Amino acid sequence: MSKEFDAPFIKTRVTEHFIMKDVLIALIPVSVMAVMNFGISSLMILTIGVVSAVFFEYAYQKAMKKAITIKDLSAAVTGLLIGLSLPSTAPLWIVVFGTAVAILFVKQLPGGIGKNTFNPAVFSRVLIKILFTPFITNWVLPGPDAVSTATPLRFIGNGSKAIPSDAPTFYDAFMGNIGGNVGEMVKWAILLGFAYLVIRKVISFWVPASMMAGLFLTMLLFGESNVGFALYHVITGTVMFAAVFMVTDYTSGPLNKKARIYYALLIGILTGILRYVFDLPGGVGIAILIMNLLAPVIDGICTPRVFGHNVRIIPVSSIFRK
Amino acid sequence: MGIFKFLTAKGIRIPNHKEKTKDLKIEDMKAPKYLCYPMSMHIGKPAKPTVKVGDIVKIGTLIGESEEGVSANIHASVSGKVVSVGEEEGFRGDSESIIIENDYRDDKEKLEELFEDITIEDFVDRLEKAGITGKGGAGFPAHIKYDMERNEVKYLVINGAECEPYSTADHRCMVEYADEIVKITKLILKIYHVNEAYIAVEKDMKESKDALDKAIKKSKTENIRLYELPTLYPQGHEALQIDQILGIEIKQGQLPGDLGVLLSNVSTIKAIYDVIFKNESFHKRIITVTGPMIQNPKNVMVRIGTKVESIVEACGGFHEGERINIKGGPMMGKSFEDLSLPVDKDTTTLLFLKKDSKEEERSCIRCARCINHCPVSLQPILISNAYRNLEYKMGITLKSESCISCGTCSYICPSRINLLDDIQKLNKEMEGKEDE
Repeated sequence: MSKEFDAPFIKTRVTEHFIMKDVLIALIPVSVMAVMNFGISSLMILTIGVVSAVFFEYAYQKAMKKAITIKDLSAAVTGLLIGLSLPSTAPLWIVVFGTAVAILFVKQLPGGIGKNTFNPAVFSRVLIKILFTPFITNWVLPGPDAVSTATPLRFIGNGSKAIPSDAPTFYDAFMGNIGGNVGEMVKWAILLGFAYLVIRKVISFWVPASMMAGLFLTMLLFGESNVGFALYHVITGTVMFAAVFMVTDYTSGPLNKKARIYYALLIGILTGILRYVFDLPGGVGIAILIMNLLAPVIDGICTPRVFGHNVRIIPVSSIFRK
Repeated sequence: MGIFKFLTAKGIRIPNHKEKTKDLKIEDMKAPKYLCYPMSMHIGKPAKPTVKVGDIVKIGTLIGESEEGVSANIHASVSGKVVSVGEEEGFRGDSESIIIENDYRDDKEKLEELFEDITIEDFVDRLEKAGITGKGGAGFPAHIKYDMERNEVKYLVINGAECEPYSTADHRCMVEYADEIVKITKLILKIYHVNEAYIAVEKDMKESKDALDKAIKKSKTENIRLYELPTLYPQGHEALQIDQILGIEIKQGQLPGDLGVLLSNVSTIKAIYDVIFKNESFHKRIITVTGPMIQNPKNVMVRIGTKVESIVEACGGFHEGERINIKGGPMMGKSFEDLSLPVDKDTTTLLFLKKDSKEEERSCIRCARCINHCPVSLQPILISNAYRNLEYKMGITLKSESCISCGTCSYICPSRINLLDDIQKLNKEMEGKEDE
């Protein structure tokens, strides 16, 4: 009897390339809106982001004599995410620095796709924020005039419990008529990408929803049941973008469905705490990185009960990445 | 946990490829000149030959006698002369085999007539004599399954959910023998004093559902119910189906019988009908011959012992090109090279696929599709990692022995990691070592 082909003899047509292509498609609305709002400068940022990320992956794998995996498009996704999470005024060298950190240090050093502990895009974004704050916080309003502005988060951070009257309106925040990173402002474009990913079964609806719910509930608590205030937190800053495109990252999150929901919920809660107690506007990124570290623990706790067994045994040593 | 129940996937959708054969009537295939009967065509011990070279046999003559324990009788499926008794290759490896030369007279040796009131002992005895084994793919002797004296039978489930893509043998059996299936089900209910029987059918297979529905109405039985299962893989699995229909979870190490559940495949039920009402021993079965490489896909009624090559010939031969031959469906079947192997009692499907170049395995991207779709909630990628890191003990912690080999994990992996293969290798490695 031949052992050359083992069952199953058929395979799904979904490959990792297929999945990453779907993520890129889901990023089209935000990318288009980024270019519409900020013109050539954001187009440059996005292009440089993608090209440099792919280049770094190729160069590293070539140099290390590994199989070239740029065709799986994961580097392109990382590059695009980094570009989208920078303001239009960011210098291009920062984009290149960001993709270099993400691809070389965060992703390839531990062994490439699936092996990294941290989300590459989030890690490099937080690092950029720490190192180069003056360069990447020149927020401007959309449009040709590049009017300087502040992000809405300035109005609601620092222990405030309600939205001040001079803060941008809900409508402006939702439509992206505010200052912010190029890909994160237009909320309806993010939701469009969200819907696409859910329909294509790339991500679960409940993961981004739990992250937003976690933040909403935390802010409801801090804001003394001020629903508007809590909602304002959800639709401002990078929350929605991160919930859809970063909290759902396969590699840096847990594996089990249940664990992914708890993980997302905790990111939301942690973001709320960081925003309120520590007055950190970049709280989302830090919350994600902290939870990246804790993901294996949540996974272990959420080990499913195997059919036909009464007890659940948590496989302590298997939950860490190999 | 209950609140997350809505997240649990009950199975996966796989393109079913049944359209080619699902409307084709079962064709009686002419028996070939020579037929080969391996004494090992069921789970357990091979049967012991009871004939010698030169003996004259009829359809239904006992040629292999069941051994002690798990084993089953084997009968001739043609009339003719025994020409050889010796080692031959079969689907279950080399075993003692009997070759019979067909005289095309089709003389029959029938089982004795049964009396009106059949007891459980009569019934089980009859199944044992007739050599009935499960026709769904595992080949478990039916007389052992139905020997339920120790336990009260509470439920009867008849499995008509043929979840493997391409296979339509059970579907056709339900369409063409719906009345027989209902009739024998009624009898089994009576013999075992069971109140209710469920016949599980797949939602997408409308014809078989309608045929059974009509047959049930015609027979005016109210205690046989159709249970519609969504078309998902692996709905046909015994334990999962019992869980789905009856809400009874069969624990590790238990058999459905221990919980008072009898479950048989529709084709097995049809074979039991022939044994009880037609006094025929188990000697033929319905096989779906299909796949892109066969000229004329068909559902055929084949005598057990017919060689694959004769069946292929009856289906117009192959298309040009490299192919993989599979016994069973594409998810759980086994590949084979030699076309001279004889069909045995649990050959449901002969599938001939195009041989594609095997895709390279790539790194896991931690998408967790294998974990989230495993029908028994295993974590395939973690078991695979444990196997590859030689941490076999971890395999026990992860309950890898609960794997039902459905292949969902390997099917769904976007990086083409052969997870099922790793799990099976680990289980093999751990066999008998659990006491250490």
